[in-house]
Amino acid sequence: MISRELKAASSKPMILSILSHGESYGYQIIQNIEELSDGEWKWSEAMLYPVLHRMNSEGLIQSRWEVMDNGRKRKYYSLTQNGKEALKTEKKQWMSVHEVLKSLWGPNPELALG
Amino acid sequence: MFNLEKAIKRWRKKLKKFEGLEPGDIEELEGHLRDKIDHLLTNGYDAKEAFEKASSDTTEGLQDVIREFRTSRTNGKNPQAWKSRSWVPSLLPNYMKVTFRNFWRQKAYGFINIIGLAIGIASCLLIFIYIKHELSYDEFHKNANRIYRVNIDYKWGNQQGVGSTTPPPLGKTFREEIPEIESYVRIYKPQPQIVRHGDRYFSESSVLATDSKFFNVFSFRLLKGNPQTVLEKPNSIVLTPEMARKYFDDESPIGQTLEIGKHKTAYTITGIVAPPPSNSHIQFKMLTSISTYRNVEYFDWSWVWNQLTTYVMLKKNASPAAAEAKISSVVNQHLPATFKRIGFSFQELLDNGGHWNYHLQPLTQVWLHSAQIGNVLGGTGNILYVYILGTAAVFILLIACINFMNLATARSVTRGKEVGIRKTLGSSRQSLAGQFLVESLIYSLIASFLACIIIYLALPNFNEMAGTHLAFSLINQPWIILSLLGLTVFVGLFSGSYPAVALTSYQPVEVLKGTIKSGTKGKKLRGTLVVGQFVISITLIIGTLIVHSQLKFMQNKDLGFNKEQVLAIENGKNLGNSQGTFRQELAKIDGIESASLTSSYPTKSDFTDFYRPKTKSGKDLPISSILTDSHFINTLGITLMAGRNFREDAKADSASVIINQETAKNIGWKPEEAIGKKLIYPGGNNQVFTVIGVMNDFNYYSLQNPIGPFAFFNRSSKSYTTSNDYIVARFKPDQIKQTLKKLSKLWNNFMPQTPFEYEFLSDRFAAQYRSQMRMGLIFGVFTFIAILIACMGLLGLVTFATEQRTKEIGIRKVLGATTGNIMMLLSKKFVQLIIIAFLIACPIAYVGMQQWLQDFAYRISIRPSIFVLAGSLAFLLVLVTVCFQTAQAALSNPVKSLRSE
Repeated sequence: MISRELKAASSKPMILSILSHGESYGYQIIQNIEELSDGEWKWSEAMLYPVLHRMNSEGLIQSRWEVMDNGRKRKYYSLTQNGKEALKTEKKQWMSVHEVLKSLWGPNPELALG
Repeated sequence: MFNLEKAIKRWRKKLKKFEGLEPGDIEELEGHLRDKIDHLLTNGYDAKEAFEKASSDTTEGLQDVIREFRTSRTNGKNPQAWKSRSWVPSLLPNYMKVTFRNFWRQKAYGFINIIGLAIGIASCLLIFIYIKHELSYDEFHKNANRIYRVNIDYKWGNQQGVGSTTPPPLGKTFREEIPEIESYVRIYKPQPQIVRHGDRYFSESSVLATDSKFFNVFSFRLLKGNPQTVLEKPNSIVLTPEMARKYFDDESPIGQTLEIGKHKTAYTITGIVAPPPSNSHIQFKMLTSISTYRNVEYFDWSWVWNQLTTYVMLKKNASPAAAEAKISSVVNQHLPATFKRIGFSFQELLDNGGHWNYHLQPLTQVWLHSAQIGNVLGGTGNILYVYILGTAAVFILLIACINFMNLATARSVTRGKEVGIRKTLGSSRQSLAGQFLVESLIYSLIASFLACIIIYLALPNFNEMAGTHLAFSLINQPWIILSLLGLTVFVGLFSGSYPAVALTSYQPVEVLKGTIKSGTKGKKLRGTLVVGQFVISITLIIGTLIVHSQLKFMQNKDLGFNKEQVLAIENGKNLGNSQGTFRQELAKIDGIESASLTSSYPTKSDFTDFYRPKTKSGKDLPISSILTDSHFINTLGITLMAGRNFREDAKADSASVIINQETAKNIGWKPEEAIGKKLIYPGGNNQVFTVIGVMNDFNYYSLQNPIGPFAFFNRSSKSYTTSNDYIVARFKPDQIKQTLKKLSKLWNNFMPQTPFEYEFLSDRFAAQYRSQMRMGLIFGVFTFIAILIACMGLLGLVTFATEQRTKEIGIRKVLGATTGNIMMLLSKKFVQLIIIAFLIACPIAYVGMQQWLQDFAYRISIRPSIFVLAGSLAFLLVLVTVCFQTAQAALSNPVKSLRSE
């Protein structure tokens, strides 16, 4: 299980990353995350949609309605220019976290302790 | 079968209820739900399972979603700045502005609403003041909660009844033998007497004689004098300031004397008492000591001389039930002696299924709960009228509130747009509901203000109509302000409640898109409410008509004698020995047909006792009687069915009696057979009377009582004596005024120092129905108000409906519709509603009025024509109301209504 805090912190970069591959919609995003994490990450609607809306209002992503062949409506989200910039920043931050943890968890990290 | 689409529709509806979700949000979530269901379906779930699983995931934590949605929209900071944190909505000024703007824009609605509400509130408050006054009777006595009136309840042979009169020894005996009783007061109401001082003389009827404990038990205010002693000595008298001025002007009356009665007995004034408050069931202008009255003293042994009203005051914390339980043993101990002394057996009374007992009635209940028991010392109210008027008040208020709701929802089109815009701009449902409530509160506040003015103007009329002395002052009666405030808030919240719920439920998208058309929402409800209003109104109309025709019936019913143009001279007993001469002189006046000297006359008291017919199975029969002369039957126009009248020479008929048909029937005699039969009077030394005549049954009292056995004894008979003498005279129909003048002159010749007091018999009968007439009148007025308000509401609705259809009317006219067609079109709906209301009201009114009529011995049968009349009356009113508007619409030039587009 992934902790709530981590989920909350990582939701933004994850959504940005998924959308960097192209347009997507809420249900698909949840599915994607679940598949990529082998079922480890389970997002609820209650968590996803508010984030989407907030990112939308922050101008990171944009949305459009599409009417499907069966008449159903679907809201597609995609990255804006701001979103792409934001993804870069996020990537940098998360990579640095990743580097630190990797070296800490690798063999013989050099630490000045005590 | 599980229907997925329906399930989703329900789910969507559920989501719509949440604040903060917008149509787009719901659609997005719905798409999500459908995707999920599709996915689950392909994984082998059936539709129902799939829906349940998917929807439970989605709706789980829906509150969270919504909260997140809201904060996400506002960047999480400063949630909705326009939402005030204090209890006063920050948009209050705006609400008020909008209210007044709306009012101004649609003055007709505004006025109908406000005037309707104002009349409703005024009626309600007026009735409330009246009821409060009725309920406040006798509460001003400090010891009110431990003072009780002693009432009698007896059955002796065929006679039975309840009453408030008690015998002289009762008070003292009760105090001595019932330990719970601390003290007692007896009150005696003597016949009206002439009171003289110098050259001033008046007949005073508001004189009460009472024990010296009067001021200890009751809290009447003695302004001058010692409360312990003012009523101690015989021939003491206490006056109200009004009486003191009447006889003594500004002189101090204390210690002075008044001459009272035939013998001009001197009474010493020992004190001044404040006039009793209007909410006292004991009313007086003078108080004398009961010890003055020899007859009260004389009957100190008698437990059947029921002439006094007795009040007992219990000890503090004593139980009234315990005291009352001891009464019957006291009565059983003392009554047999009295019975023996008057030649009866108390045991026999009991053996024949009779009873004789006294009950304690709490002082504060005397006024309203004595319709049967009566009150000799003042009037009585009637709890029934309190209920009836209370109900009327609620109904009127209800009708006014319904008007408000109906008009508010009817205008929902215009207001709907406003709601839509307010919602779009972020207003929550609560704050919108708040807005509508504020609006209706403003209306009811203005209405209350107007109501105060209405009450102020209408109170004198109401007082006159109801015979009350109610006061309306916001300053001196803080409870009026409180109840007005309560009423205002109630009316505001109640009448605003439906608009607040209905109007705020609109989806802004739908309203702004125009999907909701011309106030169609709540059309059914409006119809129902209108029907409700008219059910009430028509019921009231039917009720009023029935009350009216019953009262008219009673006034016009043949009483068995002719009550018109009969005058009674009240103080005939003052004539003393010259009575006979006076009667003869009187009969000689040419405007007088005949005159009679009598101990009593219809509507005045009778004397009832048991008589024994001299037959084989001679069972005692209670017969009411009066002592009269040979002219009485002629003067009143009573018919003799058999036998003869008294002879002019009274002595010859001293052992004769004339009975009515009812007496003969009760004994089993046919009228002709009865002549020559004998009646024995066991209560009067077994005197024997011969029946010389049988007269038709006539109503001695009001038509509320059935006719019982009645008899005339001759004035020369020694069967019993009375202290009263009256002269009744029949006038010739014309020149009543001149005849009266002559009569008055004749009186003054005989009695120069005594006022000439007379009454017409028809007035006395009318007075008997006065309280019912009053109630009928009040009922009628409030019925009128109810229907007026209902019609005002209807006018509003019609105006509205007509406005909505201006274009339709224009087009119809262009296509050839006549004015009649269009009026029909517009009125049809309302006419249908009234017919429904009429059909519902009829049975309600029928059942209710049948109940009311049970109170009368002689009553009308409820004829269908009354319903027809009420129906047509309501129908006519409605039609006038409706046509007023529709005609205007139908007559308008279509060019005008169609031009705008």
